[in-house]
Amino acid sequence: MLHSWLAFLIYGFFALAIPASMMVMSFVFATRPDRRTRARTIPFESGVSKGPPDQRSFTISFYLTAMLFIVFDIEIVFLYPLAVILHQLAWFGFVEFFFFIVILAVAYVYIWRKGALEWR
Amino acid sequence: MISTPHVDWFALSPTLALLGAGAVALLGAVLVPRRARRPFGATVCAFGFVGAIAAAALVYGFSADAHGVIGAAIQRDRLGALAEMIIAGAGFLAVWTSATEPMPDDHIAEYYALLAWAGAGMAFLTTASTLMTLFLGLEWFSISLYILCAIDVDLVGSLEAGLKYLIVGGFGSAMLLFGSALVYGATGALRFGEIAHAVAAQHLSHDALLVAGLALVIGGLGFKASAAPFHMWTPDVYEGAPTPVTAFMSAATKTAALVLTLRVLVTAFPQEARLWTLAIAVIACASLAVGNLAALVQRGVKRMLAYSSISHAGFMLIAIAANNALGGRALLYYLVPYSAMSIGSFAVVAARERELNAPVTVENLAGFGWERPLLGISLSVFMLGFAGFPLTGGFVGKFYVFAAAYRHGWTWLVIVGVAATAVSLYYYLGVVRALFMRPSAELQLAPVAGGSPPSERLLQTAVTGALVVTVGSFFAVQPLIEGAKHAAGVLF
Amino acid sequence: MNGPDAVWYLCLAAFLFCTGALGVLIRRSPLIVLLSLEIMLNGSNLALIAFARQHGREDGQIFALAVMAVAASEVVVGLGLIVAMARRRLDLDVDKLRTLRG
Repeated sequence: MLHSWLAFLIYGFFALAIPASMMVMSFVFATRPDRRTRARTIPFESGVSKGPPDQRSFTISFYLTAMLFIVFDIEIVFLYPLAVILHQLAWFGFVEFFFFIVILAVAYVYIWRKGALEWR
Repeated sequence: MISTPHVDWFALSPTLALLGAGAVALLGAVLVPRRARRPFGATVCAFGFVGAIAAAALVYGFSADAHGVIGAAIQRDRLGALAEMIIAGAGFLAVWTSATEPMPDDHIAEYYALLAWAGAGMAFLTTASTLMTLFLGLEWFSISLYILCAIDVDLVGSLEAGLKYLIVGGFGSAMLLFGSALVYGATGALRFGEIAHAVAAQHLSHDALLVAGLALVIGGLGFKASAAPFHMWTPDVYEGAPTPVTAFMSAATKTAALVLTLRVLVTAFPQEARLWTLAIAVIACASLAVGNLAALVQRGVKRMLAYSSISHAGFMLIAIAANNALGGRALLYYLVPYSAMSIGSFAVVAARERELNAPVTVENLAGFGWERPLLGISLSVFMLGFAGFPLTGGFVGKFYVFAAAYRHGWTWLVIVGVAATAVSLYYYLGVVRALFMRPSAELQLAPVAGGSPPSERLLQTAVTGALVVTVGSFFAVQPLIEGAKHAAGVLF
Repeated sequence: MNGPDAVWYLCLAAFLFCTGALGVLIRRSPLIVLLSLEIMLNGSNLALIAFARQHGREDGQIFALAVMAVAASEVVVGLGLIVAMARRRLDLDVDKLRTLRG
């Protein structure tokens, strides 16, 4: 019984420990402990605070880059099943994946030459 | 050791030809000098479609025995090959139609790339033989079409059309996906043949999961085929999208969606035939009613043609509902003249649109037939063909559809179809009347440029091609029906 | 088998699907509508994976992976259109996109 839950317990421990340590350490190791404590108590992700009150809008480049990131990032899901049985698939897997990469490369060349990767 | 499937590249060749053409056109968009992009993209795209027609013809010739390839993910048979030929033919005409479309130069090569990819997705879809390849093929061409609808950012309503199509189309796809998941849950199979097998072996034909899944799958496909009550996006999107895109969508999307509907229903759900034939018949009646009645009151020609396309989806669904060999034959035959008439009439609308620089209504078609006889006569022939007059393929198509429904024992469906045809005469003949029978005093609008209208050889070629197919399919009934018979013979 | 029966997963999947469908139908902001579309697709994914587990087959899982990639592409196209519309300062309200005469 305990054995089947052990993995989950370990997972839960890390899930709690990592954010907790981040919050604790941001208090312990902060260089200026007296100022801006309130900003450190609000939920945050990747260190981006909620921003100044005058909600400045992001530039178009931000959205463009974010969208390109989503599309290319999600292609990683096809790598996982391939990685599991890479050796068993041998040349078949190589050829299939080469085909996949060629398609991605065409898209990459397009967005690169189109100038979508330059931050304006 | 995992047994890897054998990849039959030959069976995939029509799809690959279009995929490759799209890739070359896309690279051309950034590597070819700006001024050469339009001819480059159009040429590559046209060659892609010609290559796809040739490849599909070869596949048709060498696939007398139908069999699943690539782990039975797709089916290599004459049904798929014939549908691929129709789709690629429609795409080829669409390339000619777009040749003179005033589109901004910085998107033009992408436009042709997406056109080729949409064709590739449709070609792939018609051969799909699992629920997974079905969904992937559907989304493949849908996503290309969403962008195509929105590509002309200078055109009022183009972006809106794209976003609206995306939302409604995405809703339809999600329905189809959830339905697929339910069918998978009930049967434990994704391949069409295995689903039918599991249903027969485990006596699942009244299983709630399976029936609910089937209903959702039919609904999802109904969105793509723009059949009522899943049609509400059609008039807005057809009106807002650039006209050549509308032409391609109305012909090729219907071909892909309806052929696939026939394939999935017949091969995966033979035990539920009583259920789905009735459901499809009801959807067909709804489409005929909604399409024809709404078309009566439209003034904009593009909207009118959109509703007309809904009603033709109804006619073709009658053929599917018949669930017999004659019905399959009727569907595949009907698609040929329908695609040609649809592309041809939208091409003429595009020409008039450019001339007036305004949306085309029935009023401002007045006198167009005398100004430009070739386009005027062609549009009249297309309208008569839609209405089902003899000497056009539309007549034979309707005849076969009704014969199929009659053989299934559904006389009431034949009566509904005939009544719908009678109603449709009013608005189809209204266009012909506007073209030729208005006194010249009623000519309100002159071409914006003044003088003689621009000569658009490429567009006229497309219209002539569509005209030849429309009339030719009436005189070449025998070989076409023979081909359709071989294709439908795969299923029945 | 450990854990709850596939029926519970199906209930959750159906709930997600209906939530998403309702969101598409009644919300007006195109961003929320795209979000709801994703919820619909993810509900379907959950059902696929649960059934794959129930039947002891892998093809449902592969299907779900492919759906993820497709869903991302679809949403990116949607976001792209919304950004393009925002640049043109069009009204971001799906009901105002066009008078629905259909």
